[in-house]
Parts: sequence; C-alpha cells; structure tokens
Amino acid sequence: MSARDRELVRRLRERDERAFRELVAEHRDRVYNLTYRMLGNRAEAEDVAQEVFITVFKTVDSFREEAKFSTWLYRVAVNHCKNRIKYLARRHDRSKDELDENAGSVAEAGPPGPMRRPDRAVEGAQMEVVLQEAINSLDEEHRAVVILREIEDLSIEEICEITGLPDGTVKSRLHRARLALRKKITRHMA
Amino acid sequence: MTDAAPATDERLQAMLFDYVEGTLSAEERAEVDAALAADPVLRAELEEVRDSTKLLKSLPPAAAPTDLGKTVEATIARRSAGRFFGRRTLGDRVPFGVLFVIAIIALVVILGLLWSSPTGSLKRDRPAPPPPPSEPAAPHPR
Repeated sequence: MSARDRELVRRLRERDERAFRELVAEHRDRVYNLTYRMLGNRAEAEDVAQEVFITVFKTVDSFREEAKFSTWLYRVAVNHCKNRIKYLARRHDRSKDELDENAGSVAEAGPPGPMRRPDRAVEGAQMEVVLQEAINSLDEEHRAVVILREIEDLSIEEICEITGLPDGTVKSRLHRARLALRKKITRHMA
Repeated sequence: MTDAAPATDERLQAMLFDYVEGTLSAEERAEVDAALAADPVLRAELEEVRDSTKLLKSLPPAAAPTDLGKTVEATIARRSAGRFFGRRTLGDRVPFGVLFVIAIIALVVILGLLWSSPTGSLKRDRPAPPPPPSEPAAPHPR
C-alpha cells in the first residue's frame, strides 16, 4: 500500500471528514463506473456507490493493510453490486429498459440500421446500449470479472484478490463471459 | 451464466484466455496452436472472444454525478444525526431537534417569569420610595 493510501486510511480511522471527502473525490468515478456497468442503471448505480463509500468509511477499521486500498474498495463495491442484483432480481424490479435516459433517448432517436461491422459502430450510443444489455444478461459472478478486467482494466491478480477466486477460475470465467457477450451481441445485430 | 457453454474444460478456457492475452509460455502456446489447428469451432470461438474484448474495451467510462460527494454526505447526515464524523463543531454535533427543544424550554421559562412578575418585566420590584418628611407643625396662633 502506498504511503498516501496509508495516510488516508489513518485519517479515515480517525473519522476525519475531510479525509472522507478526499476519498469520495478520488474514487467516485471508478466506483460509479463499476456500479453503473454492473447494474446498468444510473439511479441504482448512484445509490450503490453511496452505500460503498459509507461502508468503506464505517468499516475502515477492518481493512488489513496487506492489500491495496483500491482493491479493498473494489471488493466492497463488487459485493454491494452483487447484493443489489440479487435484491432486484428477487423483487422482479429490473427491466431491460433501465438504461439511463440519455442512452435510451439516443437509442430511440432513430432506427439502429444495419451494423455489419460492430467493432466500428461501437463508438455510437446504440452499441453502448447493446453492450450494456449483453453485460446485464450475464450472471453477477461473470459480470463482475468481465467488468473488472475489460472496463476497470485490473490485473488477474487484483481480480483474484477482489473476488477471492483462484487464477484459473477467473481466467476461464473471463473467457466464457467474453464468448457469451459476443454471441449476445451477434444475436442482437442479426 | 445463461448463454456461455463452450464445449471446453476450465483449463483449456484459462489457456485460451492467456492465448488471447499473449501471456502463455512457448510450450503452452504450441499446445493451444495444435488444438486450434484441429478444431475449426475453437478457432471461431477464439475470434469471437477477440471481438468481444475489443468491443468491451471501447465502452466509454461512466462519469459519476458531480454532486455524488454531497449526496453521500447528506445521506450520512440524515442517517447518523450528525454523529458520523469526528472533529466537528458543537453546532454540527448537536442535532437540530435538540437545539429546537432547548429553545422552546427557554422560551417557556422566560414567559413564566414574565407572567409571575408583578412589574410585568424581568426587572426586580423597586423598593417603595421613602415617605416624604413630615412638615413642621405650624405654630398655633395665640
């Protein structure tokens, strides 16, 4: 753990409000990006991101300084997301139309048209919607590893620490998740 | 997962992952190359995985709402009645409700004192002025 992180953790343990503000300012985009991609819904993502920061602040005493602080933060975030996914599934509260209004309005702006080269069309918001829907269709375990790797750009070692899974399992899940995503996107394009 | 199910075992899947990432040893790479040469389905699968990786990497980051920090602090303040953080001023630590009750009690006490005061104010009763000195008796006319 870096000296800066160690100092931040020390101040958080002293319940320093300014340290909490620094924590949120420094990590909010990464945490929100993770929660948004995991949940596919801005309101849920914001709510869970809030819970992540509150949990981190409340339980910082239990953080063992063997791992990187960001790894621990990701673990808290992933666990919150998994719990929320299960909760929403139980309540049948998730729908496929839960992408944010912007993405939705872009999608509604016009017909998507033929996309013979999805790799080029990905710059468009429509492809983002398709990709997010494909991610949403994965179960929470595969969703977590694929987002941590492909979107958050973490190493396999970090993903193993966050998920508590062995190296081989993380890699095989990533392979299966990538394959499943491609099949879903292809089906959508067809 | 609902839709994955490639017909490969976990070890081969992990090796295929490393193959795509370019992190296999020469020996393992040769093993995967041999498997790919013998299996067109596996070759197609590998291309799909590569496509998928490219697509995922191109997803734009979702920026957090700018007021997320304030929202979090407001949530904390609401849930903890100001007791969440240390090193705060007295005004922050004491819940507003307590201050309001104290103010009401103080107001009631002041009104009670005013009501019970014979002067109608918080000033003490003034002592009665001393009686005027008696005038000297007029001489009796003789």
